[in-house]
Amino acid sequence: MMGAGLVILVSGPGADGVMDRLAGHLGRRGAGVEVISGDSRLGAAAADVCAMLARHGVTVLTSSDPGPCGARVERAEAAELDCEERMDAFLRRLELSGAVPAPPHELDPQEEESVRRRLEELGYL
Amino acid sequence: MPSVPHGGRLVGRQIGEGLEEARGDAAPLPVVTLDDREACDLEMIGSGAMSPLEGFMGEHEYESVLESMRLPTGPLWSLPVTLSAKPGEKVPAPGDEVALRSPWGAVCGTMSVTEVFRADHRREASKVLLTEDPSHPGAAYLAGLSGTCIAGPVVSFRDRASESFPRYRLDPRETRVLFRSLGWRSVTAFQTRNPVHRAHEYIQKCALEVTDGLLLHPLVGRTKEDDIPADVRMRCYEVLLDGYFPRGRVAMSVFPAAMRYAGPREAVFHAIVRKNYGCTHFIVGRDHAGVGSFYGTYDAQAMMLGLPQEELGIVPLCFEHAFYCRVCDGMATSKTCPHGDADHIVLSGRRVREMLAAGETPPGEFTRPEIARLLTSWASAGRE
Repeated sequence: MMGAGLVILVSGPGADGVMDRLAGHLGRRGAGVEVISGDSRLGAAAADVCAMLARHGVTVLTSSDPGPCGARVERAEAAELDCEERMDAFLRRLELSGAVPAPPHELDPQEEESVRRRLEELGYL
Repeated sequence: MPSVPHGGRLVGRQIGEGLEEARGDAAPLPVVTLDDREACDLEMIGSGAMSPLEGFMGEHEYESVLESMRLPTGPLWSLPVTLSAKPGEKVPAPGDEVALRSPWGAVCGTMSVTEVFRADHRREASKVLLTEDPSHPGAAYLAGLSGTCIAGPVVSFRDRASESFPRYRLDPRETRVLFRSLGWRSVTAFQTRNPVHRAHEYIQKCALEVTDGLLLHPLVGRTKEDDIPADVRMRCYEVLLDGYFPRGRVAMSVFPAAMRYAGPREAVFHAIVRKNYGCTHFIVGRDHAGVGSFYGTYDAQAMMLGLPQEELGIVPLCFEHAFYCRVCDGMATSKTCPHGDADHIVLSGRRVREMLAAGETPPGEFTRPEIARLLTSWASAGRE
């Protein structure tokens, strides 16, 4: 688990689906992840819970704006992460800034398939 | 199965998707300009080829590599990988984020500066190149540096549209998938900065007899002015691939490193890096990564074999000088041929360059005729 956690605020239509996919990617990278959706029963306490979890190294995905909570908050529109390439680029930026772990050195099946397609296009396979 | 990356994990500090946004973010940052060699290093770090390096070295790493050929964390590492401050550019301070600009003017990455230190490049030349002689191209390069090094982790921007040899540019993740897809459990890498002659082909085929696949990995980064250009060398390799190697057992991809001409230490570096590309075996020829007469013919092989092999993690395949023997009527080395020098056809790289410059064609026993035609055509274009 990372030393310092992070809150990722996903806004807009489709946020729940995007958060689920992000959680899957982050989990495969070995990050501790919690999803706190907008309709959770935490209500006004959601921001405090996000901050608390982030302080303990958890990457929190939420659609409730935690406001200034003392943790690093990254904001994204669900529509901006609607395809795997954009989601990958988003995660990559977070990874390179040290906020989320790098993927394991072996590619996941989806990435491997994408590389395989490129190798086919280049005539290697 | 492909080799475990050096240090245990394949580093990835490269952005391909979202490049415009990354460049936009980097636009307001102060700039550090890279020279050709540093630009090659940045690409190699970003792609994971230089794993476990995540950036340009700080003083502790630099000293450790110079003195003990190891990173402070333990893994073998034979060459310093540093970024020099350039005259006329403000030297950043630790904590600064800087944009890295290529020699041709494009922003090609960013760096989080962790340290600025003074490097003793004369001592580096002495330790790494084993000479400070300015006629050594590596020593001459080091003598021209400012001596102020900027260290820190980097992010490399991969702009496929602007890359040379795009058809052949595979990073370590891609070569690893390629080897898995082809079912190669053992892969020999062959490094060269010279056009391919029959002696090279002979040792490549010897390696192919004992491993599942062969990765031809010609170096296309910065080389000496008098080396034959990379595009010509690549065309020579294409001839060999098309006409003289079995399909499905040989792949070619470019190796985007710059030459240091550091002989034995560079041979170790070349092997470690090929391990990151997923190779299990590495061919070490005569005077590997040498220049002039600065290193003994088999110094690189001796250094490779003297290292703890389990730490090196890639099997060195050491070959003696190959030649064509008129009596054997085939390619051989002193290990396999009992005949004398008078029966052997051997040409040095320099002699080949002289022949080409004089409009002469290297003999068929030395070079495949199609390759000889390519080289003479290139040389005659140069004369015109």
